[in-house]
Amino acid sequence: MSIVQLDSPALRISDLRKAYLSRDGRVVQAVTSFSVDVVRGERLAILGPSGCGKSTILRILSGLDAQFGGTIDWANDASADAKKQLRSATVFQGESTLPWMTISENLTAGLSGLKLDADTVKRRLDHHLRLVGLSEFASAYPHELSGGMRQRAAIARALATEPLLLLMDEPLAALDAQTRLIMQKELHWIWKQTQSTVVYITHDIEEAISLADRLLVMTARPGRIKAILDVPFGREVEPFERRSSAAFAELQAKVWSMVAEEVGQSLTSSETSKGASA
Amino acid sequence: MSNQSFLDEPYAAETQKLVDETLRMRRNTRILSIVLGVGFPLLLLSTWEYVSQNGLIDRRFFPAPTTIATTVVKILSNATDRAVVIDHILATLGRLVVGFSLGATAGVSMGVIMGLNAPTRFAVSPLLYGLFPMPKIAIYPLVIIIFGIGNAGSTALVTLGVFFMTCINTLSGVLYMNQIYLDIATAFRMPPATRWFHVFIPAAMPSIITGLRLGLGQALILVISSEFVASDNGVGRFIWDSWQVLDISRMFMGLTIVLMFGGIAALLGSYAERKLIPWKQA
Repeated sequence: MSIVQLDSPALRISDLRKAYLSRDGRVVQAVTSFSVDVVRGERLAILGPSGCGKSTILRILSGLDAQFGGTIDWANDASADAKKQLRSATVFQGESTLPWMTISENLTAGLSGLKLDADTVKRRLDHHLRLVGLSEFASAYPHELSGGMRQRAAIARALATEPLLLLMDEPLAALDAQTRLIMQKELHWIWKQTQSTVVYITHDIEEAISLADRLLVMTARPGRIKAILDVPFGREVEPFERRSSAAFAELQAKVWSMVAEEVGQSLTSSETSKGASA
Repeated sequence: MSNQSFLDEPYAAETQKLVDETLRMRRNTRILSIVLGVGFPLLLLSTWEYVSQNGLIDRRFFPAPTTIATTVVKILSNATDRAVVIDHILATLGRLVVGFSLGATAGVSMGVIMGLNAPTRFAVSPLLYGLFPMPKIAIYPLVIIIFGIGNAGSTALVTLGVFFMTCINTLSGVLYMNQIYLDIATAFRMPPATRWFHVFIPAAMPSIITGLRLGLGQALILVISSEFVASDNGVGRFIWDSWQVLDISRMFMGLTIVLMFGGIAALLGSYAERKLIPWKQA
């Protein structure tokens, strides 16, 4: 593994803005003046009430949406060969393995956009399947595996592209509570091995504090940055250990009150708008 | 393995009784389904046999199953007659295979193209959906003008019927596929070949298979009815000829052949389903 130089930004997001045209022709500002530097190797969790623009930011960062205002500066992009590396690779919410392919074919399909020789592809497959503990299931089909294993396969597929940024969109939301806790621990371990730069989108405050280095809390629509908080644990500290400390509960309460404030505001504002339209 | 350790426990006898009981109930259900599945059709056949033998229905038009069977044996044991029947079967089979292959290939390709390319979809779908409700046999005269009576005309009609069925089903499969697959293809910057052949087409495969199965049914209808109307040979012709000379037993033999085609088609359909969409299996 390469030695990661911390503190140099992996990407610099400046004044990101996104507006939609709603079905009835109104312009809806989803995200506005969103600026943050994502430091190399850091794990940034983006938290916020539903409808705050988390998914909008994800779609922009993952390259699914190219129509936005502001700039995203991929610091290492100039040096990296675009044919050999993805800017970002995404682990999607819910089921995202391709059910007609074996696990290793799923990973290969993820690499199909890159110009890699067969040896590199094989090496990456072996390495990342081992990393997520699926080496023995390389030729299994997704429906033969459990939900947690399928999600690990989706994680391996994203990691195998060795992207500048690993994007995770509520990757554990579809799993049952026990599997989710185990997967948090595994994610922590995997990131430690890969030293990935991670943007982790979630609405689960506990999960965010268990995994991230920094928390970015968003406001209700239009989504702005409400606060960026440091998580007061060393990054080596495991999720389970974090949860059992007093600082955890303290931070959780603080973030919860921030989010609750926003949820409350979005509820009242939607009520006022309803009243106005009536 | 876990079963083994369970049986060592003090309730081993009780557990064993539970296991035996469950297995017995499963076996009984299976036996019942086989007995009724085979028995009920046999009951209907023997009722038919009885009412026909005893003159309760007109024996000339509804000969008893055993009479039909005798006719079948007689026809098949005569070398000349047998050759005639086989020729009819091969003629129909040829039209089905060629018509189905052409129609399915064109239909699936067009469906995928329309699904992924909006301008093509805008241009073609009004035509597609406008013409779809037309019973294909209604334009058989037109098809005959273009392709002539016989093999070509009949095959062309089958092709047309299969094309509509597979095209419409493939199109809906592509349009209504889970959007996550589109997102994955885009986010991982997959090249066009990978997108099409490894993502979009497999994602639409359940719908494509449905289209193929419906298309096969459609093909059978069209090949037999076009042979009724205008053809020198084929199973449809065989049935129609038998009817016209009032050789009803021979007609029933023709119907049995059509049923066998249908049965084989259904088997092929479920085989394709098992092979091509194994993840849809429970």
